[in-house]
Amino acid sequence: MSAGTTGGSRVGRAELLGAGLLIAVGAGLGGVVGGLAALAALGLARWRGPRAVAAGAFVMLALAAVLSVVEAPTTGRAVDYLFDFALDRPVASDAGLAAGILAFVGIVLAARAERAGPRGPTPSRRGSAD
Amino acid sequence: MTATATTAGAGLRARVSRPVVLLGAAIALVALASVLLNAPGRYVGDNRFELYWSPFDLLRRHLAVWDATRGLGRPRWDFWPAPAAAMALLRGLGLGPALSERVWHATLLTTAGTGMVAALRCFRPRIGIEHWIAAALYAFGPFTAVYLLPTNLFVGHAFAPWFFLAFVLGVRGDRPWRWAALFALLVFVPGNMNYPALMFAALPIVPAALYLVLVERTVTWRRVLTWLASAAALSLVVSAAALVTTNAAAAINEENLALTETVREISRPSSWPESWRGLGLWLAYWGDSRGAIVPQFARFFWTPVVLLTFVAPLAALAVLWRSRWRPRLLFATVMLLGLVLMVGAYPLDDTSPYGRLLLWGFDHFPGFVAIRSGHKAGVMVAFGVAALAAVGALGALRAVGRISGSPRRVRAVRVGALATVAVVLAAGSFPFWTGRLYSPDEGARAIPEYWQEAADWLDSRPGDGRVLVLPSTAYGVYTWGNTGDDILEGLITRPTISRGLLSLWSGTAEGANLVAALDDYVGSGAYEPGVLGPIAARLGVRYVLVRNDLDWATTRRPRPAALDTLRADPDLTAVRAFGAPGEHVLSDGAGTPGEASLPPVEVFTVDTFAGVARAETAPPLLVSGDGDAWPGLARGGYLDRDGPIRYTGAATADELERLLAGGSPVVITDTDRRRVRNIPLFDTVARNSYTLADDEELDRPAQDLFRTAGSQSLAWYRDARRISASSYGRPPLPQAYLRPSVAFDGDPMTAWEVYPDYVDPVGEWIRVDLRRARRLSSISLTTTSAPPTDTAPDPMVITRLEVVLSDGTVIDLAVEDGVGRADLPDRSTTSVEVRIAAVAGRDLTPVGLSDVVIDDLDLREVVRLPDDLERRAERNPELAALLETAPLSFQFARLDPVDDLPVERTIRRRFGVLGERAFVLRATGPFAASALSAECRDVGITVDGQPIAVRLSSPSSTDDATATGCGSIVLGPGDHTLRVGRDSPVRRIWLSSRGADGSPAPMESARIRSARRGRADFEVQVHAPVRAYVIPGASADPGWTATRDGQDAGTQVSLDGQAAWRVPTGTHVLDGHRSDQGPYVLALLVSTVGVLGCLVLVVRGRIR
Repeated sequence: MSAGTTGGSRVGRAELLGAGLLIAVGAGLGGVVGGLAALAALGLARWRGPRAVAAGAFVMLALAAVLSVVEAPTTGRAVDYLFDFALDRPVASDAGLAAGILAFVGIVLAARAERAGPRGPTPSRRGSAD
Repeated sequence: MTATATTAGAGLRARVSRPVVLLGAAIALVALASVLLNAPGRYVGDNRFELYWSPFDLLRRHLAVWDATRGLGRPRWDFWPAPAAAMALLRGLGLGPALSERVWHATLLTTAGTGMVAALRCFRPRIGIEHWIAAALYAFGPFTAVYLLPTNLFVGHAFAPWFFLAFVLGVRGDRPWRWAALFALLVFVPGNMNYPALMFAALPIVPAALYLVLVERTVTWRRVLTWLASAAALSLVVSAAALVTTNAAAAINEENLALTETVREISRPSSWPESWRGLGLWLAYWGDSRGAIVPQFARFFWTPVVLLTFVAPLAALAVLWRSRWRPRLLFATVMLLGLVLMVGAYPLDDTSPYGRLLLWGFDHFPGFVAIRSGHKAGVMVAFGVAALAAVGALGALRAVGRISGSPRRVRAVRVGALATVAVVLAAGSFPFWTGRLYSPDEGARAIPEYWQEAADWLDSRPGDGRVLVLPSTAYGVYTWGNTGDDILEGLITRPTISRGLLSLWSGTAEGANLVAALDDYVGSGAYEPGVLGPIAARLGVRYVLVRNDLDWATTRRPRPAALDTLRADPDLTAVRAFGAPGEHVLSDGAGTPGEASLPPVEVFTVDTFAGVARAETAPPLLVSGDGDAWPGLARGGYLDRDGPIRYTGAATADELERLLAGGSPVVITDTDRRRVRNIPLFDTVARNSYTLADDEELDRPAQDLFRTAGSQSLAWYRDARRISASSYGRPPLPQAYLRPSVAFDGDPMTAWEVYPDYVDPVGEWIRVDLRRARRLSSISLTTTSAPPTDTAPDPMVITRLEVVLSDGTVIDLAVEDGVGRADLPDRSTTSVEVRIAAVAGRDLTPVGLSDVVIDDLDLREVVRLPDDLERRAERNPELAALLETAPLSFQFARLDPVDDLPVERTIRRRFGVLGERAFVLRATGPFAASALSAECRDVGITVDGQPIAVRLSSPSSTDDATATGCGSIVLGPGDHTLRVGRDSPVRRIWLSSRGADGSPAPMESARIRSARRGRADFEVQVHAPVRAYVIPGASADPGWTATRDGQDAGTQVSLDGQAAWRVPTGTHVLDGHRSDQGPYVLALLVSTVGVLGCLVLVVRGRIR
């Protein structure tokens, strides 16, 4: 095996390890849904690039927002309109969780990518929001 | 001016440019306007009442680590010199309490807003529209609104951006010490108001460090760690006094954690979506049949507002997605870390591995539970979202500015974009501008003058006799307004006993337990004349203040008429009334005729008062039990004739031997019950669960005053180890009368019930753990349901039950007409569980089981009296011999009603006797004249199954008559059972051995010649003709040390819940002081020097 191949397999192993770690963190924070969200985020990143992951987080949070108002309450207790506002919206809750995990993966991938950029604070005084 | 100072000044000037001043002024103006226009002119409950109403007194109290004026004396738990000084300054300038409070709120909001601007400027130095938006989002967002009160937590929100700024500038710049000093000063300002809130506020430093070192790569880990070390060191120095105070009050803080909200309650609403939009704070969601606790925020759950509050976090994610601004990674990380902490263990029933880890930590590390309130991390979410959303809004506005088309279209789009930003900001901040920042149910315009007059009158009385305030209330819910906390600490300087939210505010463990018990007793509405006098005398109570202006209907406190018997007590004399008859007295016509004309405040003197400091020559009365025993001991005459109370649970075997040899009598009571206590939402005092079996727990640990084996009264069942249930009554409100065991008591009037308002009844269960495995043959059950009413025409009913045996066998049981029966399979089982499997009916009315019969099992609840003395006697023959001959009494009492409902319709007790003894029975209760005469009669009392006849001692029947047994009762060694039938009027029973209830041998009494009590010390001169105990009048606490005539006074002992020392015959001077006062004063000095040093560092900028 050539040195290049060895280096390449090391990189591959490191990426695999990193991916596994991200999925583990997702699962640790959000159980099965969190693990799946992290897996989906990695797939999305491979398919459309790291920014797509943040886009996915945006979409999932938008979904959580809509579900928070349309998801039918699962119980009908008298004082639960506030009491169980969260518990009564399990799908919205999962969407919010997925948004969080996608955002987490997005941040990690973006940090890794941007760490390779120029050393120092944001180049322009106003930053580059635009 | 030195070059350094000049440079530093130039640096500061560079940071404080004109746009910055303009922005700061605008934030301050909006903040001040919003707090002043909400509930104008009203003081709203926040932190502590005295912070705003008597800040000078509060400041003065900071001179000592002990507060002798509250309850029986207790460690001071609050160290807030900066807020108290700020309030004192405002009050000194002539501002009233309400205005001072609003200025404080506006100051915190301004600090938050300007801090956000300053933090954003670390990465976007030039002030632009994004800074304005970030400030608005952070200072007036949804999280800010729900988190503003109490401000002891909100201080963290106000300071979080400044912590962040101090770190970033500290590690990036050339003046790390300046920013470390600023950090330390920020830690100092709130004092020990709430360290977890400050910790969450400082946490953004962690992502900032990661970002600066790993992504931006402008600083090194060495620099980060060096700065953190310097900031930590300075923070420790300025916090020295606060830490000493916190340590001294550790027990109070522990009680706070134990009695208030649980992780279950906190985690119930903290889902990811709710946390994303800055809510998830449990208080914003909670309520009961009376509505939400904080109704002003209900519109956060209104559909348009729900959607609009998601816009800011969506904008934040859009920046993460679309922007190339590198610091977005930092703010996004802060936001995400905050989210993870906020969500915590949600949802508890199916939590994540991280949630399980948190719960495991809460269970295994007692201190860890201090950070159970993950919503405090909302500060980080708000911080991250504000920065990102502001930058996102800027980007969107710029994008809009670049669109092409007709000028009209361009203008329309721009206006639309600006309007969108404005609508989002307005929706999230609606409480600030719609008058919903403060609760509509709270606030008071002024304290009625009669309260100040009463306080002034009491403070002007000579001597140091204490004031007992009845009824107690933890929240100042009066008919004239709601002050949040009770008003007493801000009005009366004289030592005052009034049970507060936490029992330990009334004294240390034993004293606090006694005050709570006395308050529960008076509040039960079943007061017995003559009870208060002897108790008050032992607690140094000179005055009793009765307040009739509480909103008793809202707070479930006793109504004024409930204290009529107390008013007529022969030991009390009415001396003053304050306010006009009927003024602010709430009466619905159901009380006694005179209730509506009672004055709002009445003051009585206690005729039995003989000084706060006492000297006792009678041998201590050994009591197995706790403060709940005192009313019975007073009613039984023990407190009139016997010495000071020493609890057996607190005494060592050697001490017991010595006291018994010295003639101490013993009373074993059915008190000190193993129960769980908590503070229910809406209620104003802590309430108890039902009595638990040995080792039984509920959702939180059972209280245990002494932690001595056998010192508690326990629930005991002949054929079961315990009877438990998934829930009973309304979970946040302990309702002992609905406990699971009453389903097995054979009384159709009692029932275990669950409330579908709070829990899904399907799946709720009741369970019997048998003493041994049995083969059972049948079970029959009777269910309960509410009758149909106009408001609930279709009440819920149980239609199907499941019986589950210990091997997993499930037997279906159909319920018809409220009754079900099933044959059980022929197999051995160690438990029987009955589950509600199906219900019918649309209205959420309570359902439960009133009667469960399993073969011939005896599952009736019996309360086993403490057996700590028996256990120790088994190991100690000398002690056993002394106990067999000591004057011995057993005291039994029916538990007082709760919510006007009986908790114990019968009395069933089990108690142990060491050697054969003859006892005389006495009983009290509302015996009807027709039921009793001088003849012996059966009133339903049995001992070991044998009826005990009694005759009325006094000739006339009253509501509280006394009866004595006809003849003595001989009991052999071993366990015995006492029972009182369901219809018996008997309330209390004493079984007394010969000599236990007679008059003690006359003893010479000791005399206190002079007594002085300071903030943290006392001096008592006593003349003792025989050996005596001196009780100076302060709560028992290991922190007290004393000398007698200049020599070590020996071991402190707790008598009557207070510190006491033995003195030999003669005249002595007992000098006592707090051993922690010296270290506290030293810590005060260290903190003061530290603060001054930090101020110099902030101004000068560096250490040479």
